[in-house]
Amino acid sequence: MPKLERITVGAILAALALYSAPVAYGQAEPPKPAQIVVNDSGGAMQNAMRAAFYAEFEKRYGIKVVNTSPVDLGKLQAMVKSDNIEWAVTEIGGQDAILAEKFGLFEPLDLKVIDLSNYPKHLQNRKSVFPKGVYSTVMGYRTDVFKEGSRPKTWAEFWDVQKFPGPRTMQNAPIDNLEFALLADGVTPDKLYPIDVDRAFKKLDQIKKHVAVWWTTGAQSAQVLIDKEAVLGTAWNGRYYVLIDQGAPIAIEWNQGVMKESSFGIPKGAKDAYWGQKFLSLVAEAKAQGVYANIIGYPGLNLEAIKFTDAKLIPFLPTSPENFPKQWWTDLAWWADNGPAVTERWSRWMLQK
Amino acid sequence: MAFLLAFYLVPVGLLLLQSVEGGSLAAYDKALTDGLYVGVLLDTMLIAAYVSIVCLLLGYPVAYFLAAAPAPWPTVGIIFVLLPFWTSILVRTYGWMILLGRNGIINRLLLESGLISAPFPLLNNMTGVLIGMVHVLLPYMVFPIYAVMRRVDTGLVSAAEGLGAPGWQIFRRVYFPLTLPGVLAGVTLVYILSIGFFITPALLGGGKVIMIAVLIEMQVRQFLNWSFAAALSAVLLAATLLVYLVLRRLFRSDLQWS
Amino acid sequence: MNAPPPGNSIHTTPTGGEGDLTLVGIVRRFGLVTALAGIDLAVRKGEMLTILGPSGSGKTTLLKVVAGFETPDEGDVLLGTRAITFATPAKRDIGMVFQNYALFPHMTVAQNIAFPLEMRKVAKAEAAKRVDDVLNLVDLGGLGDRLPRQLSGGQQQRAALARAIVFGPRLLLLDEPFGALDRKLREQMQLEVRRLQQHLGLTALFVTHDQEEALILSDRIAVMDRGRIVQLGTPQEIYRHPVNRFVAGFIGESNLFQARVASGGYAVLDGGARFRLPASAPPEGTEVGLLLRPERPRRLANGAAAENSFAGSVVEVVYLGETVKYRIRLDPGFEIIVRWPFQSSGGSPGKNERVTVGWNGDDLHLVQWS
Repeated sequence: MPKLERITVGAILAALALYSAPVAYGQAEPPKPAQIVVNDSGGAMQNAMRAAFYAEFEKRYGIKVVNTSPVDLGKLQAMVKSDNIEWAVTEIGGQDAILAEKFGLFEPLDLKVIDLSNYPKHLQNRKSVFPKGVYSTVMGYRTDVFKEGSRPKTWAEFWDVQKFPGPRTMQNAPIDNLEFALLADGVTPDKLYPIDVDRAFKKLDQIKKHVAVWWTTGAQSAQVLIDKEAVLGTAWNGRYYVLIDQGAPIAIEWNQGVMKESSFGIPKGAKDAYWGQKFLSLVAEAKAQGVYANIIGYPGLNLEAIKFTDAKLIPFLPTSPENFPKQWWTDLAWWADNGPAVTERWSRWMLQK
Repeated sequence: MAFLLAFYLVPVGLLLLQSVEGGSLAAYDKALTDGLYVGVLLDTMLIAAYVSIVCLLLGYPVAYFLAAAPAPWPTVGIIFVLLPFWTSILVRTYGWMILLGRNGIINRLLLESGLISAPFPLLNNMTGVLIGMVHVLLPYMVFPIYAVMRRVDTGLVSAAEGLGAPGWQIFRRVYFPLTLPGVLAGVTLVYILSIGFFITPALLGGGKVIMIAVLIEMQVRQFLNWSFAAALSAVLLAATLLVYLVLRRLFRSDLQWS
Repeated sequence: MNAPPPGNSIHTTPTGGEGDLTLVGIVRRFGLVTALAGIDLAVRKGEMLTILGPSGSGKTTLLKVVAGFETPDEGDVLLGTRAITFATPAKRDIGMVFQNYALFPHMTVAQNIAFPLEMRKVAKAEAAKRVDDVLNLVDLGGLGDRLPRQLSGGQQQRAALARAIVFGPRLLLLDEPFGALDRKLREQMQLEVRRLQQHLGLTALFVTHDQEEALILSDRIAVMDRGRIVQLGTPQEIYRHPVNRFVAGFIGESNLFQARVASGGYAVLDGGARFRLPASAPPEGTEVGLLLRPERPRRLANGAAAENSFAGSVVEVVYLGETVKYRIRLDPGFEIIVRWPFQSSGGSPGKNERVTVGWNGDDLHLVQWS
């Protein structure tokens, strides 16, 4: 069967090529561009990444790192489709990363260049999505309203408006909220997926009128607590940390928080892909991740990074020994498959009076 | 004309092409029959109408002030009207959040002065959305009207007065009709811009006010469903054009002279 | 000229009998500028009285005071016996034709004309009839449905006039209404307005800076200068007997000489030339202005004599149709302008030709110089 043969030969050739790749790179490094473009989410994140990663890359390779933002899956797709790729590397959200990989929008990661050996086991074998870091959607509350000992600790208690009265705030999206609803309804984290969407929305009906603000942006999620528009809410852990660090009367409940990965990817066909791999290799380093976490409060996933992290910050990291076991990982694959339909239903549910 | 073709007609054409991807009208079927999208479209148009009306009621007197006040007031006034343009939309929006919140400046003043006993819900609802949108869009109402008012011959007002018209008749029969082209330009502009509004309603509405642009953006950015997004956009475009044509038609005889 | 000339009776007691519009001691100041420095004037019923003056003379302010767009600082405005000094323009019962017509561009001609009737709550049918009548009166029959911009300049003028008279106002105000028309149309409209005003017996106050227009249209002319009325009279009186240098210079074309009265019924000009004066000369030593209308000097030929005669040469020749205007440099060193009938068979002098011109003492009109 000549067809099969050809495939086999092709596979062997590919494997060979892959095997010899580091050698080839070592021998013939492509010419250095004056600059590469890294697309990120901007704002404080960008400042932290500049200090931790971009500056170091510039120093090490003499290539300037230029930044664009925001992170946008649609734009990535448009770029790859039109073969007009500006970015060497782009940041990408967890759920979008799954989609991007599914649509073949990323170059494969060169794991000979990028060292993931100190990462959690299940992350060491990545195809094209680089695990940049982790964040957790957690419960936050005003400490002047809920005292220690009389505060909500579980999503069931978050739902209990009798015992813990006061306006809530939650993200204006189904992700996390459906899971929180199921947890509140007594489902255990290991039984969440596939999500029983009907049951989740039914539970959400109970809390809907107590949610004063359905937040849209990360900044808004925390500001709502500062402004007392709500006294209990959900947000990404780093958003709370920034305000707690500034002395705001807010605290985090890590219990039943949901962890998600934030990622980097190299757009398929990027002309600076070689330098993209080099860049990600730098981001994977423990020391760089420690510097990053110290600034922004979000850790990387190199488990050695904790050595380079401030002791006072560790309690606010989802990867701290104390916090890590209390939380669970979201199933991005489920969300990648069901996101559109569930999000549409979410909008419908929102419109219901 | 070439400009119009390159920057308007071509993109619109591409959009329409994308909406019938694969020769199927399924995207339109959904956009036109699904209660969610039709409902949000109608809500969006209603909000745009409210915003246009409020902008007109506030903007007309402001434009009049700019056109009629002695120097240096028009210059000062124009700077104030333009001020929102010089701040980013996010800063403006967060500014309103600080002002309008339950513990915001306005509610605190009202509470402390004893005028109200519980915070007035100005934020995270329709009121907040309207306030924020009107603030952002007011200049688009003021300037077309102002431009027309500047050109109104004040001799006509004197003439009406001399011919025996009392103040409000001068306004109703002479001044307002003469400024109507500006009013329609402003209303059209504000209405069309309102329909595309995105971040302000999301933030000031507390997520409870959904506008069609949010749904379109969601299709593109989150679900990469370009064809449905294109169909929604096309329906929105058609609805907007329809409103515009109806408006023109309604006032056709009043604009004949200009 | 800071005070009204003595002996010129322009003061009218506001009895309401003679004056249909009566102005009494009107003063209007703008900051330090006095725009109207005490205006007394009575416009008789059915009369067309023209306020004539250069820009800045105060005539526009005066018009605004009458129309109600300005309130005087002092004085009173009476329409008939009713004081309207502080009445709003709408309550004055005055029809006004504006400089640029001020037709409402968004209304048809008929709607424009019906506007004052509508404001006076005239019944629809009655209003329609009156609009029709007045349209025919001003020769715009059938054009009622047009928009103003669809009319010619002359038609717009008529429409504006129709709108000003349709409600039968007590007074018609015309503010330089012919300025925008070309010469031919202007003359035609002037005559039409005059005819209409006389036909309807309207009392009219007409404001213009155009002395020719004033002479054609007016029953009487009030010449304004620097916030005052300096002379009031019929066009003929104003033309023939201007009270001072300003009026003389402003009305018609004139030769004006500054001179000092000398002995023996003569006056001496600055350059030394001597003029024979009219019989009623002021006392010796008085500074006077001598006004010589261009049509007064004669061409002296074959030893013909005049009380004043000078030789000179023609500097400029301007043909004006029936007449020819000459600028002649006379030998004593001054120029005069003369206007003589055109003579076909070579009787008119050409440029650079030597001529002798002469006039009598009585041809000169004495005016106040200072």
